[in-house]
Amino acid sequence: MRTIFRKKLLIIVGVAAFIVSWLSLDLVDRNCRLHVSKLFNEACKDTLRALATSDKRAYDSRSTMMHKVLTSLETVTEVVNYFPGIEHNYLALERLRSSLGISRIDILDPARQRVVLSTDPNLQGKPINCDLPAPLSQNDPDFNSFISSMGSYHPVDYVLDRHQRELLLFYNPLRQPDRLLRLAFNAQNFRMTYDVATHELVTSSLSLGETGGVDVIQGNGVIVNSVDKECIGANILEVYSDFQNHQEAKGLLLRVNRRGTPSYCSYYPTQYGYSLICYMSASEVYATRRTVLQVMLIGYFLLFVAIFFSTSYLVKVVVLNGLERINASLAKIEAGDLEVKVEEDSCPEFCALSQGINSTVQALKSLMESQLAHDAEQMALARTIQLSCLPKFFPTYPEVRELDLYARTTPAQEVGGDFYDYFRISDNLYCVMIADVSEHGIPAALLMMTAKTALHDAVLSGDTLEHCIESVNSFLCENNSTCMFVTAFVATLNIATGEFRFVNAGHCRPMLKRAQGQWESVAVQPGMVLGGIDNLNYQSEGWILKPGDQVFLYTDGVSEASDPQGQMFGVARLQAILNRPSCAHYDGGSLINLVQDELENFTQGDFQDDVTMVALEYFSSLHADKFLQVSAQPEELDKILDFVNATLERAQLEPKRLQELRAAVDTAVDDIFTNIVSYATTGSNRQVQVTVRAEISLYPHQLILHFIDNGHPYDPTAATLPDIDCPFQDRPCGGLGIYLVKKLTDHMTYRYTEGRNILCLVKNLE
Amino acid sequence: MEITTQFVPAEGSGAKDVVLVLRGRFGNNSASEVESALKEAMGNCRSLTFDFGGVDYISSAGLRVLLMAKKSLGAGVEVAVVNANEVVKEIFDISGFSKILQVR
Repeated sequence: MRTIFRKKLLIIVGVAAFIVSWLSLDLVDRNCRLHVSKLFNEACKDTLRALATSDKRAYDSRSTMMHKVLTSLETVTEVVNYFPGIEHNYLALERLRSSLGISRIDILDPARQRVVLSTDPNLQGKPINCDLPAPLSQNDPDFNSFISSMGSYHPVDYVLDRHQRELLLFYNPLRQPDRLLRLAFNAQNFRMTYDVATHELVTSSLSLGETGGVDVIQGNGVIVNSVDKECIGANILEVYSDFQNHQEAKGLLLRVNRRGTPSYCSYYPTQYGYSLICYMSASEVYATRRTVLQVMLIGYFLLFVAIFFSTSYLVKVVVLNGLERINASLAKIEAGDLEVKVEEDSCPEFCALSQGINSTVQALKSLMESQLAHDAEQMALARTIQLSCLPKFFPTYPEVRELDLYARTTPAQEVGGDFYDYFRISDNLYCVMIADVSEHGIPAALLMMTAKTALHDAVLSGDTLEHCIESVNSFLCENNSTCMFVTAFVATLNIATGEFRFVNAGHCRPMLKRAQGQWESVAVQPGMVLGGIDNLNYQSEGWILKPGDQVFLYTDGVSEASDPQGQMFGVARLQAILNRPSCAHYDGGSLINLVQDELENFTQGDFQDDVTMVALEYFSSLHADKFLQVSAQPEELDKILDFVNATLERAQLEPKRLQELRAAVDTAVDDIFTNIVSYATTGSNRQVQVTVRAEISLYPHQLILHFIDNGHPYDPTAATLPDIDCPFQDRPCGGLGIYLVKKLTDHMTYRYTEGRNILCLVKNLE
Repeated sequence: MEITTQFVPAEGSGAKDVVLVLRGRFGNNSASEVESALKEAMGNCRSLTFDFGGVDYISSAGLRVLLMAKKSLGAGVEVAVVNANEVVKEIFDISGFSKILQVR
């Protein structure tokens, strides 16, 4: 961009410099011509003044000389008339001549054509016209006309005497009829006087500069005066070629050729019968142009170079640097950092641009955030839906004495591909399954829902377990264009016989712990994954579980969990944890919680895959010390309190803690049982039975109480809480029971399934 | 539930200070016993004191009895609970009864 800008700036500045130079040149030319034109005007006026002055002087000198001539003629005539005898007295005549300043005095005898007496003794008796007539000067027409004009008063001759002096001879008659007076004046004196008075003065003012001048032209077009002497007497058209074209252009500056030199001239006609032409050679007219041009061009060059660089610099500082900073911010934004603010405030335009970008980014960000929030909302909804289809209360069937089952799943993302299921098939037959859809996230979650539903439906159909699995495999193979598959461990347990029958479809090996034994990973018949290959046969196998036996199922999210260094959790580590001596009496829920905590420590909370565990524990029907069955009668309360307190005492707590717990738990039990008695039996004559299940869970250390009754559905967790701050006069005498239970226990859940209210209270023992 | 009622005649007025010494579970099943014992004892009563030294716990039914006693005696008569264990005191706190009764 900077290069393009500089190129264009260079072109623009160059063109501007050229135009400005050209205009300036034209302006200088005009100025030169204007200057010359003014000069010509002034010269014309000066010349006119000088000519007028010389004319006047010429007239004055002519008058003076005429006066001298006439006076001398009259004086000498008077003297000769009075003293006719003087014609014999040379000395007297000579004295008269010298006193009057006359060159020569002749007294002539016209009849005899002789000189009677002359101040020049050599002319005595000579013919009158012994002087040679002198030629009139060709170069001095003014003087010639002056001589001619003298003759209008007296006859005049212009001669050369024998001394080659130019003389002017004036004649005057005397009283004596045969005598004629002739006076001779020195013509050179006349000419000098005349010249001094006129020509030199004019000539000196006819010069203009080095090469210019003023030509004075007579009406007939002949140049009569000029500085350029060679032109005097020449015709104007000879000197100025192509002049006739412009003869009408009075006072205008004309471009002409004067004697082969390109010149400028102006033509001024005057009222004195002559015209003036002021001229000057073009080279002199434009003499200043070269200097001005040089200075101007250098000045322009420097000016435009300065303009170029300063503009370039300013654009860089004001525009390009700002743009570069904005671009840098935009690059960060483009890289995904929407927190970047464009803060370019070097000028209002950039401020506006920055604000525009910022508000656009902000709008984009809020749009993305709202989209993300919407996506998160959708995902949360999907997670809720997915988790809601899995059994979430454990033990799921608290009143079943033979079987306890706990499960837990933690999706790596919002939704996952792992699932478990646990449900009753018939009175004594329960189904337990754990499965893992390849991949995770939304695609896995969708297949998981399908697989779970298919397995659930198939198992409930009552067919043999292997047939169920085969039909689900075929179902999942249909239209499985994505080649995703499911590994599953599906088992049924007959709680009456302890028969645990299962099919392993490509799933992790189960862990089994026999009562008084150790946890072991059991090699079972491997089967193909579900949804991989159609029309496969699966085989089931079975164990007989004895009271106290436990089974632990998990997905590869457990065994293949890795720590930040990439080390795998592994089955051996899982087995070691389960076999810790401290875990010997852990129920299934505690085992799962322990493994989950160990996994979180191991992976530092970064689960790469969904993690799912199922723990199952088989008891005999004789194992009844955590169950108490009573009828819903108020007098049964003490039995329940004794039963619960006996359970608490098995938790091996400190006496003080035990006493506190007993007071809290007893209060809760009293109020809960009172509620069940009063609400569950309302308006009913039937016998309502209450099963109380009390157990100590070791990890975390908790007392878990279940109240299971077949009374009317009543959800105490939905009860409105009393206002404990109102004055005692206004307080109702009820409604406190559930409030106290909630306050005195750590967790309370309620559900109604299969015609029974199941209320679970949890009290932390630590 | 064992209930022992003690009367301390107040000097000069003919009124009396009543002390109920309770032992055992003050729950739903024993609330009516305490209630009937109270009815006998509350006549011309200047103050009412429950000695909870032997009380294992108090349920909402027990609280109801205390509230009824307080209501029937009115604001002028002090109703106090003494020697209660920590959990019972906590119950009085969380139920708001410690604002109504003098729990010592």
